[in-house]
Amino acid sequence: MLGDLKEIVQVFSREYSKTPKLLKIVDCFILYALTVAALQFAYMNLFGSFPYNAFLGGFFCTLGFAVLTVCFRMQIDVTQTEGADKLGNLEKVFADYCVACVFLFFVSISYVG
Amino acid sequence: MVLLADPIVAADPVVEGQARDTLVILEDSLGSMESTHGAFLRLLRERAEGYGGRVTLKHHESIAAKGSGFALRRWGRWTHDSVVVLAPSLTSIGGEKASEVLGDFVESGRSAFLVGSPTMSGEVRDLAKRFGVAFHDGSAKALDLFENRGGDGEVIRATNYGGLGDTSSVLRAGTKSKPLLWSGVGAYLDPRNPLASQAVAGHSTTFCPTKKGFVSKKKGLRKFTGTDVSLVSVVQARNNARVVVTGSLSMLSDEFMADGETSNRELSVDVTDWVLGYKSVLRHGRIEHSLLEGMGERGETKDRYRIKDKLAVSMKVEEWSAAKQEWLPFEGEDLQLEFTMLDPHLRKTFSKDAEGTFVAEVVAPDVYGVFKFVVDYNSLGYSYIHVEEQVPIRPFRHDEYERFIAAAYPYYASIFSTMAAFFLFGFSVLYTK
Amino acid sequence: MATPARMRKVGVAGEKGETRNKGEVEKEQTQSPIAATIEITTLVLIAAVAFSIRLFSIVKYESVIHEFDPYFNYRVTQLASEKGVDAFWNFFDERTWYPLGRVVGGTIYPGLTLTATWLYKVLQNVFKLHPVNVKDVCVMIGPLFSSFTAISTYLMVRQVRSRGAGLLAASFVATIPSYISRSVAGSYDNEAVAIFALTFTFYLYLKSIKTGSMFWGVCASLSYFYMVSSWGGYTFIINLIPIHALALLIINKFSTNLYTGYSMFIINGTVLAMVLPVIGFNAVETSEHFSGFFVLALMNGVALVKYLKRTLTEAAYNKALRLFVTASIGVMGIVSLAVITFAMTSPTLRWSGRSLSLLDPTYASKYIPIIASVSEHQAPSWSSFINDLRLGIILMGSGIISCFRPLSEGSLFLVIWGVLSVYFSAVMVRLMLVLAPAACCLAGIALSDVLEVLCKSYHITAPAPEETVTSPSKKKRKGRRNSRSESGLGAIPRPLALLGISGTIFVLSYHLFHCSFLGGEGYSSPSIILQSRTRDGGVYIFDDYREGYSWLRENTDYEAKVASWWDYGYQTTAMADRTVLVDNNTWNNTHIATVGRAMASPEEKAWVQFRKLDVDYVFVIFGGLVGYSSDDINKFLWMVRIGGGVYGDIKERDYIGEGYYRIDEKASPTMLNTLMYKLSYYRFAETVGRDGMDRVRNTKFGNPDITLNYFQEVFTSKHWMIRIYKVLDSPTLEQA
Repeated sequence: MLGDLKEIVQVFSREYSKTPKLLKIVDCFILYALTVAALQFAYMNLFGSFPYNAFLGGFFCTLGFAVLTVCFRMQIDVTQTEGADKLGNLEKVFADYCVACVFLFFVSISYVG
Repeated sequence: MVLLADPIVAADPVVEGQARDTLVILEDSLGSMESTHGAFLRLLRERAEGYGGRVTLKHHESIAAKGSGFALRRWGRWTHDSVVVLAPSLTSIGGEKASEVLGDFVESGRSAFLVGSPTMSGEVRDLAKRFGVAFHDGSAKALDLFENRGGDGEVIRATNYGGLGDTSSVLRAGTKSKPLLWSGVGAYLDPRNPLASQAVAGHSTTFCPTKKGFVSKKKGLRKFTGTDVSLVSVVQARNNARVVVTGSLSMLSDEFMADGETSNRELSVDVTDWVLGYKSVLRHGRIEHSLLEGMGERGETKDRYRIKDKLAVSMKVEEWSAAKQEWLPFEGEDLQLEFTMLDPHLRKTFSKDAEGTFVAEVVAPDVYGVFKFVVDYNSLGYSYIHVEEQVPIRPFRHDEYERFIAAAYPYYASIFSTMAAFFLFGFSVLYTK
Repeated sequence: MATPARMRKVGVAGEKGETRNKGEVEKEQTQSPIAATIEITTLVLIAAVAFSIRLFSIVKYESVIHEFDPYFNYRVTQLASEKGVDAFWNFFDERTWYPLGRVVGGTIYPGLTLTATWLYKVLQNVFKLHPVNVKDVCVMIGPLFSSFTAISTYLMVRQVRSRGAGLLAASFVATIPSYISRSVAGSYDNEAVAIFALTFTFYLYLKSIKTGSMFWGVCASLSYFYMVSSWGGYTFIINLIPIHALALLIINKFSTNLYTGYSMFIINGTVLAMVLPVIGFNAVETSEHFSGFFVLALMNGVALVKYLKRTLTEAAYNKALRLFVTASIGVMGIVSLAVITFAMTSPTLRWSGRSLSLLDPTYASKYIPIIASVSEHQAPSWSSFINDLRLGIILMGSGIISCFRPLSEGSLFLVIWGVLSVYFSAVMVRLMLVLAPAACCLAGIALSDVLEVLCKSYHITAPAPEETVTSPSKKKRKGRRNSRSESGLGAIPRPLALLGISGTIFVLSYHLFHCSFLGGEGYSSPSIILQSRTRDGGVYIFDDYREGYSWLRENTDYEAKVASWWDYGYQTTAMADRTVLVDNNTWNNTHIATVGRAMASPEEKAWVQFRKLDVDYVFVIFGGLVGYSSDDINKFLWMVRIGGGVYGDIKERDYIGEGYYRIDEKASPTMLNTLMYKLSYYRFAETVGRDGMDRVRNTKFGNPDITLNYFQEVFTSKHWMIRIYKVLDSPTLEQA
């Protein structure tokens, strides 16, 4: 079991190092957002759910950001969408992504205060 | 004609506080009544005229017929403020049935003193019934073989003042210290009737005999025994009209009053004062309310408040002083304020400020809804006070809740850090190519 | 009258539009400017038909708000347009549910009222149309949004299938009677805008999963937000979309676009929905919303697995998969166990009564009489499916089949939508409204396939193979099958194709005729004004409701409290402007039960109960004189049931006379003594005689000598339909 895991991790890290730098950066942000979401969940469980709307705002904001970034990553990942022109695609997707993110933040801000 | 000089429009007794124009209906001619009940008539006249009222005396036979020229109600208006019926055989007034005309008279807010006797007419019985006082059916006098004068039990020495209730608003303490000589027909008050109460009740040895025996075995008549027998009954209708009913005409006679050892004279004064509105008459203003602490300006009267607001409530209650002929602040201490939605959510005893106004401070409950302030004062003998003031209590507005709570700062931080991450992300994407 | 003539003209034009679009279908691939013009013209005409077919109620009656709930919406709209949106959010209504009051701002779906307010403001300030008042805007919302629905249906079906199918579906939606019934002019209710929001949300969602664009995802969630803000039926969407996504996952159609569209929709949609006070935390706490999160988690799992599969070597992947599956099964087990225990213990997680009665159709009648008592919560009869959906339900089956060839994301969606809504509408007649657009889309697709085959056969000059035409009666079906198998090649001889086309046109025209007839006759009644035909062909108007309400408004104290059965609560607050005890919001079962119990009690007890609630007036609706069947005596058993559900002293069997519920001499003594009975039949004998008939029940009435001691009749309308009584004060004196 553990050996399997070790092997998987090894293979994964070997294969992962092949991914383009941009995607790695994207992955960092996804991990960051997920961590923050998890932290908030833990905080809510520890200290009670009193300003529940604030929690929901924060939690969904980070979660949404993570999901959006995953979408972004999937759409620019050339290994998946083969044959697509990477640069043109990137700009269009990034514009879309920005719109979606700004919208998400706009909604999330309404949960502040 | 004297009648033309009578004021057609009777003053409203509730506003005025006391009756101004009293009609006394006599059993016999004036002359013979003077000889038997002169003391009471004099007393009545003295007190009425002393307080600025006046008394009209009429023999009941002279006003009975329609053509007699007398009418208690004329063109829908009443010609008198109060009626003292010293005529147990009264049957009609101005062609109208006595029970109907006097019943309507009281329902219009005017007061009546009704005296019966063993020879009273069916109309008088019916009238008493309409007031909530049921006279014993038989014509026999109530008996008390223990507490009496003369031994035959017919003249009862009554000392059971007030029965179960506190009648201090009707009877003075001095009255209660002496026995009352009473001889007549006993009455019964339904305990479910909240309007009638006993001013003087029988002793446990008092009973109303029937023709066949002392006490009837019939279920309905067994209630005319013991302390359930009411000798003098006071009734205050829901419109504050006052009625006194007694089955003893001799209670008011010169013979019974002459004796200084009895309370007949004092009781007559008390009962007359009460029924004519010379005492225990209250009037009240609206319930005023204003904000003490909470949403809005202090002292502002709003048509709705918010939950948990602190409110100041006040109400003026005044008592009529016949002696001074003016309204004075009411001295009572037991006035309570309720804050009600379906059930009272709060109940508070009023305190008094320097001017004698009743004031209270109330914190609105943490429940929204259409509340009302209710003051319901039901003290025996005093005018009823029932005032309601509707005050809706609303919940917080959406922007009145606590904001920027410290416990939520991590969440806010997460949102802003994510936004920062987004900008960072944007830059890194744009410059990583 | 000019208006019907004009409408008929528009109707004919609409028909022409439908016939014209067959030519357009053919040129679909090229889209010449002429075709585009024809398409847009047709669409505009369809929208115009959708609008004008709903105006019969104004022509026949007057511009008036209909029925019950619209009156409340109208009242709130008035407030919002007069005092602003801020006052609307914080509207605490103390004139209803006395003495509890109702927090309207937090319990109302604000979409409809805010739309109307906004429209009114625009008309006033931008177009300077000052004579237009709030009522007119409210009356016209239904027709207006029906046109929008037609357009958004067109967009959606075009997205899924083809332009022709889109136009056909739009024309169906514009005229389908089931939808007309909820959106005629004056029917100012949530559904009027919600169906538009529903179709538009579906369109945007389908677009977003087709293109994978986050922008469309944002649009879809905004449209969903509008839907949530306008109707409680949004739970249908939030469950339908996960089911669709799950189906796509199961048939292995996972794609980046689906992931993007779906996850954006769920996350943004949830965050937006929570902003509304009426939804609040429900969006994450109640079971109705869980399926979305569940499928989202599943989809992320699938995405992760796919990613790993792509990244790892095969051997490592297999090991990882094994690990992943065991781990996830373990985690799933723990999580679902936790969720189940949580759901068992926490009261907020329970399904709401209405949802439960959808899943278990017998639930409401067993446990919640108040839900079962509403006529629109009953199961519909079969005939109403045919009557209300007409061509839609007939063509729906073939539409579903047609959707499977070829099966795309969009057509799968339509299939699931259709199948689910058939079930739901079979449970609750009100949800027929959700079925209607689905049936229209499917019918549009089916019919467009038929027409496509027919037209192609007509245009192709090559002689068709003879052997395909065997039986003329089966030609359509057969033709389509052939056309599919031969990839759209015409397979029918020209004359038959021509016959088929004209047959279709005939069927469509007949359909339109039927729909206009139903729209005009069946669904235009405002229900506060009634019409009947006199013998000489004239129209007789019963305007008793408004007569009664205006009496209350003019003759009673502004603070007076009026008790009636809850059906009339909204109307009383809006038209009579008096405080009521219960209204159509039915949020507090106990309070309604209190009123039901008082109505079902003997006079004296009822008087005590009403006095306790500060009631000044009581009114009942009585149809016995003119034969108005939806009166209070006919609703009375529900009052008994609802009252009995809370108060044990009311038992239904006491009110059942000999054999059944009746009001004649053989009615039960309890029944003859109830307040409701007394108030309904008080002095009735004076009008119809002691042996007179109750025209609704068609029997004599049981007690011609009714006396009232605690209530006083103060008003009875012209046809005795509304009878108002004053609750008397305590007597001045208590007799011995």
